[in-house]
Amino acid sequence: MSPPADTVPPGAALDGTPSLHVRRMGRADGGALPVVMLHGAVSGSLASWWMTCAPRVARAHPVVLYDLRGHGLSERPATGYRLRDHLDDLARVTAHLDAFALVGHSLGGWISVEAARAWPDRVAALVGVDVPLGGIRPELSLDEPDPVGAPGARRRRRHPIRLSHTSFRADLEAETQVDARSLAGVRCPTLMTFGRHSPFLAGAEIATAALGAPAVRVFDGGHALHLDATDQLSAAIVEFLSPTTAPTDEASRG
Amino acid sequence: MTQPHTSPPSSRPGAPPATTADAADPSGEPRPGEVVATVAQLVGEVIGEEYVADLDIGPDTSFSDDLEMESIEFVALAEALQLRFGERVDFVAWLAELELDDLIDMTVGRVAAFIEDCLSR
Repeated sequence: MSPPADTVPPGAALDGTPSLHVRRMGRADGGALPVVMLHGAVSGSLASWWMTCAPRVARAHPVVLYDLRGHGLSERPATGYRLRDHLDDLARVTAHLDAFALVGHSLGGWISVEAARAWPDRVAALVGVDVPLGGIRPELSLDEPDPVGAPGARRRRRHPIRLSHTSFRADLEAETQVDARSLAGVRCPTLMTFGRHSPFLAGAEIATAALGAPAVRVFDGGHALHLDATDQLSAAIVEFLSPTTAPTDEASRG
Repeated sequence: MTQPHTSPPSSRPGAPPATTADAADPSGEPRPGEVVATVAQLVGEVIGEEYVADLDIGPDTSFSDDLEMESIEFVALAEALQLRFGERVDFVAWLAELELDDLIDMTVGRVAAFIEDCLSR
């Protein structure tokens, strides 16, 4: 039996294979729905959310952040980067939670959609953040800069080995597309957000066709919507997860 | 901050009289420079002593420009600082008020000042 969330240290390594770096924010004692936030590929880490939307969401919800395998301070195995591998990791991270919401950016959104389909009784809400849908594939550059700055010699000395030494790219390219049919298989309330200047904006039409217009929102920003529209995205997540402002109530609220 | 380390705490209501020999009072305010030194020490623990050996980490040291820390390393530093200073230092509430540019421009001195402010309340 895992201990309840509020007795776990705020930052901890989750044992197992691979070991995962997990971080918690906010308090678990208020009865609000826990929110698990998943970052995007390569330049992403739990810091992507930690530095942007997570502290704002944590005012209303207990938040769980973790580094996807191969990223941040989680272990970087040589192989095993299929979506099912990421789902196994998410299952470990959420083992102590009965029900939770998922917020996923990009690759984290793919994982979240698959998790919502796989665990319909536990994933209570889903927020996708600029998730590539329907055939548009992310261009996977394996050395994208960190949002806090491009690496200099000092950082390169510390982190010589990255995802290019793993099967990450091949595993992701082997993955079946997450598309309209995937979204249609999600039963929980869903909000899909996109950046107006993102290469994945076409996904907004796909999501609208699958889920209806109220489930889709477009913000000013690019693919890194959490960086470009931090306040708006945070507010949209909190509003969407608030029981009184679920999408079905939106029309009556004006 | 170049105050001599023997200077008494500022006029905090109810503060006990300062004693120059009072080295370790866990419930009291840290001495000037003490928090900066702790932040510098934990930076070394987070990114590796060998990578900071050639640096003189002080209040003006920038996490991104000087230390070239990755964002995830900044998270790890915040975790270490949280463990060291406890719940009185609420990094999450602070973060919620900061923009990304504030984090990119963050210095050791600014983090130390935030911690000192929390500890003095």
